Amino acid sequence: MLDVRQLTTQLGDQDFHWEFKLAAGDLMAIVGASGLGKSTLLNVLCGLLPATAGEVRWQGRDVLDQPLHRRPFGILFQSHNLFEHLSVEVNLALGIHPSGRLHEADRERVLTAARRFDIANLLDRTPDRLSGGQQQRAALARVFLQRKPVLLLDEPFSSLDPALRQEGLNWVRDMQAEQGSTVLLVTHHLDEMLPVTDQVLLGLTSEQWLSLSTDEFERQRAQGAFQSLLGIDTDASY
Amino acid sequence: MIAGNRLLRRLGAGLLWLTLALAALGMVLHPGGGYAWASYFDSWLVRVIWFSIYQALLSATLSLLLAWPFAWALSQTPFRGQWLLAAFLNLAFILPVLAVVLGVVSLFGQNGWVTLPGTVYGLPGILLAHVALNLPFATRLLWDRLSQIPDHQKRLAEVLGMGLRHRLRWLEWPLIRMASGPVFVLIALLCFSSFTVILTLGGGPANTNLEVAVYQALKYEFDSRAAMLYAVLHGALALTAIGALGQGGLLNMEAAVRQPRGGQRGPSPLQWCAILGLLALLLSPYAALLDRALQADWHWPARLPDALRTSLGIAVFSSVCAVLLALSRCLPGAVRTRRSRWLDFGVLVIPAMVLTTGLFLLCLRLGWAREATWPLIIWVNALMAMPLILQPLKARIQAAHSQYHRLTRVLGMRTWPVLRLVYWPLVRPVMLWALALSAVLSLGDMGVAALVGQVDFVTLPLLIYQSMGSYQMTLAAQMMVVLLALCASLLLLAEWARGRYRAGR
Amino acid sequence: MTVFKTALMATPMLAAGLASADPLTIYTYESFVSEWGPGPQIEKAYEADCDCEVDFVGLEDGVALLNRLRLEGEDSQADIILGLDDALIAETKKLDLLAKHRVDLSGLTLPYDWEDDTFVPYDYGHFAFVYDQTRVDSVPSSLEELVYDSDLSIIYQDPRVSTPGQGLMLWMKSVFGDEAEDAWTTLQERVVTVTPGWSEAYSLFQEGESDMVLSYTTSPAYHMTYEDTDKYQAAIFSEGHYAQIEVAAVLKNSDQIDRARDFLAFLVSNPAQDVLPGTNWMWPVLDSADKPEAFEQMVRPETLYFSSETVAENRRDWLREWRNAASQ
Repeated sequence: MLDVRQLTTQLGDQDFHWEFKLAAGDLMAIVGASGLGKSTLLNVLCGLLPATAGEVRWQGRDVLDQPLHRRPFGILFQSHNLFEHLSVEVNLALGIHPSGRLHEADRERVLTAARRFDIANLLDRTPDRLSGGQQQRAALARVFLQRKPVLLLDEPFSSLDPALRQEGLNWVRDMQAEQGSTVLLVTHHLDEMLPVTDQVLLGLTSEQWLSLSTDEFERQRAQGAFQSLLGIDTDASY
Repeated sequence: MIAGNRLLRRLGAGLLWLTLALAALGMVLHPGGGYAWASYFDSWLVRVIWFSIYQALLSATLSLLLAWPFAWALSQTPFRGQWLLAAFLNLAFILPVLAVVLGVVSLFGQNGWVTLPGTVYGLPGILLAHVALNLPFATRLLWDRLSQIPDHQKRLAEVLGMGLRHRLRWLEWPLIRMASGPVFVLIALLCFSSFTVILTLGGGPANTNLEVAVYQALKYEFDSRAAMLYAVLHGALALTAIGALGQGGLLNMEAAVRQPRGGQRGPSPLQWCAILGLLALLLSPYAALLDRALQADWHWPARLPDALRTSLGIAVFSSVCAVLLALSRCLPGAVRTRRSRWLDFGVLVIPAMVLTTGLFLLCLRLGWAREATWPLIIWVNALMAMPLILQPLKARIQAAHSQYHRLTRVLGMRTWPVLRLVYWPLVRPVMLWALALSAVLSLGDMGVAALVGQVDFVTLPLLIYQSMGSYQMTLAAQMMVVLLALCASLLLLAEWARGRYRAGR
Repeated sequence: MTVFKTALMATPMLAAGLASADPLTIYTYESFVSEWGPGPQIEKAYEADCDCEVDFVGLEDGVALLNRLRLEGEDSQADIILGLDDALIAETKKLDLLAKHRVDLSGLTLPYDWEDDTFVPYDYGHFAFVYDQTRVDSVPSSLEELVYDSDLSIIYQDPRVSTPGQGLMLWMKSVFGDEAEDAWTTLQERVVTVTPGWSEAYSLFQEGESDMVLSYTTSPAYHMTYEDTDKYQAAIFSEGHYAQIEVAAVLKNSDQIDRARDFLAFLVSNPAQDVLPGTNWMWPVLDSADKPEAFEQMVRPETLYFSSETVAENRRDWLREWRNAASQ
C-alpha cells in the first residue's frame, strides 16, 4: 500500500498538496490541467523535490527520510531517460549499479532484460541510433533492472504515436504482472489508459486532488462531472 | 557530487578573488623606493595617457571603418563553407601578437614589400599592427550581428522591391550602427591595453602607452612606485571604459562565440571580392614574414632549445590551469550573481599587465621575484585564457546538466561515475579545444614574461623580441615561423582529436 | 614547477661543483660578451690562468646592470658586476651590496683624477657622435651647433638603460645647464629613434638609418683596423666631450670573494688590458697595454664630467627633463 498523507510542497509562491492511497500492484492515472502539479507529485515522491510537510509510507514504512536512490520508486521522465552518448548496455547497467561497472552475473541480467524488451541486438548502440520505440523499451528495461516496486511514469510515451504508446503501455502491464509493480502514471491520454487503470488521481487545483477508483470516476463522468477539468486534455486531438 | 562541486567552485572563485586581492596588496605594499608623489604627475605622464587613448581610438576607428564593407558583403546571404572563413577570422585573433608585429615590419619596414613615406616605427606601425589584429575580430562581430536579421525581414524587403542600396539604408545600416558602438569600445579597450605592439613598434619615448610605461618604470628605472601609479591609472581608465560599454557589451562578446550556419550556395561575386580582399589583407603580413624568413639559411641561436622548452612548459601548465579554472567557473548549481559574472570577466576587464604588476610588486616585496617567475607567468596566462574558453565549456556543461541531472540522481550515481560517464564524455571534445586554445594564447604571450622574467629567463617570443631589438629581422622571422608552426599544430591536433571523437561514436 | 626547474638546473651544477668550484658569474652588458667583444678572450685568458670557469651574463646595457642589482638585492647570482660607469658609482654604493676591491690602482691612467676603494676602472673613453664622412659634409664643430644649427639626423640610446645614452644626457647637462630641456626639445625633431642599447643604435646607423650615432671618439679605430676605411669619423666638439670610465666591482655576498677580487686585479693587468682596446674600442687604463695602430690617430679631447655624487643627486630629475622633452 502506498499511503500519501498531507504531502505538501512549495514551488515559488505556489503551494501543492496531495492526499491519496494506492493498493500495491494497482495502476493509478494522474490527470489534470497543466501546472497543477502532476509531475511535481512524482518528483516529490522520488525525492527530486523536497516535501515541506506530510508523510509518504510504502508498505507501512516512511520513505521521505530515505535518500533518493533508496526509495522504492523507479521513475521515467518525458525525455532524457537515457544517456545519449553511452551505449544501451551501459545505460541498462546503470540500473543495476550506479557506477556503471558490472560483474559477470550482472552482465547476464542486463542481457536477460534486453532480451525481454527485445533490444538484445542493440546493446552496443548509442540511443541516438535507436528508433523512438526502441528507446522507450531501453528506458523501460533500465527501470525494470532497477527492481523498484513502484513505477513513476511521467508521460514517458507522450511524444510517441498512438500505436507505440499502446505498445509502451503493454510493456508496463507486462512488468506489472511479472514484478507486481505498483504504477503511478501521468497522462494526457486518459481514455487510452482507462481500460488498464485501477484508480484515477484528478487535480482540481494544485492543493485539491480527487482520488477515485476507475469505476467511480467513469460513473461520475458519465453524469457530466469533470468536463471543465478534463475537456482540454481528453478532447484534444493528438 | 554536490559537495565536490561546491568545493571546486569555491576553490576557483577563491583563487580568483585571492589573485585580485594579492595584486591590490602588491600595489599598496610596492617595495619602497620611489620619489615624491607630485613629481610623477608631469607633462610626460599627460603625454603617455593622451597617447594611450589617442592611438586606441584611432586604431578602433580604422578597424571598424575597414570592417564595415567586409561584414556587410559577407552577410548578404549565407554561403557554403562560411564557417571556414569564420574560423580563420577567429584564428587571426588568437595568434601571437608578435607575429603580426613582425609581419608588419617585414611588409612595411626597411627592405619590405611596401615602402612607407616615413619609418614604420612609431604611430604608423602601431596603427597598422592594431588594424591587422582587430580587423578580423571586428568583421567577425559585425558579420555575426548582421546575420541575425531574420529571414522574414529580408523577404519583406524583397517583396517591397528594396534594392541593395535601400536594404542597406533601412535594414542593415541601423543594425551596423547599433552593433558598432560596443565593438568600437571593445577594440579601443584592447588597443588601450596593447603592450607588445607599442613596445616593439613605438620606437622611443614619444610613443609610450601606460602598459609600456609600467614596463619601463620597472625594467629601466626600477621605480616600483611609478609602476604602481601607471598600473593603477591604467586599470582605472580601463574600468571607466568598461562602464561605458556596460553589461550589454559584455553579452555581445559572449554572442561572438556562435558559429554561423553555412548556406547551400557558394559565395556571390560580391562575397568573393570580400573574401579575397580580406584574405589578402590579413595574410599579407604573414606572407611577408615567411618571405623574410626564407631569405637566409636557417641558423638557430643557441638559446632556442631553452626558449622552446620554457615556452612549451608554461603553455602546458597554464592551459591546464586555465581549463581547470574555467571548469570551476561553470560547474552546475552555481548561483549566477552579478558578482560572479563580473569575476568571470574580471581578468578581461582588468588588464593582465596591471594584475601582473601588482603580483610582481608583491613578490619583489617578499623577495620571491626569482622563484615566482614560473608560477606567475603560468597563472596570469591562465587567467587571460580563461574568459575566452569559458563560454563553450559552460554551454556544454549546462546542457549536460539540464539533460541528465535528474537521471543521475534518480539512479543514485555518485560524483565519480557521474563525472566519468556523463560529463567527461560530453565535455572532452570542447576540453581539448580549450586546452589547445589556451596553450596557443600562452605560447604567444610576451608581455607577462617580459615584465616578470629575469636575466636568464627566455621564452620563444622573448627571444624573438630580443633579436628584433638587435634588428636581426630575418632571424626573428625564422623563429616566428617556428612559433606559428607550433601554434598551428596545436590547433590542428585539437581539431583532429575532436574529429576522431566524432568518428569513434 | 619552480622547484622542479631549480632541481633540473641544480643537478649539473652540483655535479660540476664536485670537480671544481662554481663558475665565477659576471653580469655585464650585451656588447661586452658578443663574439667580437672582449668577453670571450678575457674569459679564455682568465680561465687558463686560474683553472676555473667564468660565466658572463649579458644585459641590455650598463644602466640595466644597476637596475638588475636593485631587483636581485642580496640574492643576486652574480659575483662580479662589470660595465657600470663612473657616473653611477655613488648610486650603486648606496645599495650596500658591494665589497672593497683591495686592488692597487696607483699606476693607472684615467681621464681625470679619480679614486675609489670599491670600483676598479678597466677602460675609459669619451662620448662622441660618429658620422660617415662620405655622406655628411657639414659636420658641426660643437654640441651647440649640432643641436641648434644642423640638420643631421641622429640615433642615440635610452638614458634610462644605456650608459652612452646617460652620457649624452650628462653631456647635454654640462654644456647647456638649465637650458638642457630646450636643447633636448630642439634635438628631438631630428632623432630617428632612441634604442635601448649601444649595439642596436650602431647597427641602425651603419644600415644608413641616420647621419650620426652616439658612440665614442675611439669608434673609428674599429673601422680603420678591421675594415681598413677612415670614412667613419668622430665629430670633435669645442665644448669638450663627456668622459666615461667603465668600472667593475665585487658583490659582498659572493661565495668566492677572493677569486672575484683576483679577477678584478687580472682585469687591470696586461693580459686583459691588451685585449680591451681592440675589442671594446676604449682606451686601456694601463699605458703599456697593446693597442691597435689606429688608436694613434684618435684625438684625445677635453674632458667633461660630473662627480658621481652630483649624478646620484640629480639623475632622476635630469631623466625626467629628458623624458618630457623627448616625448613631445
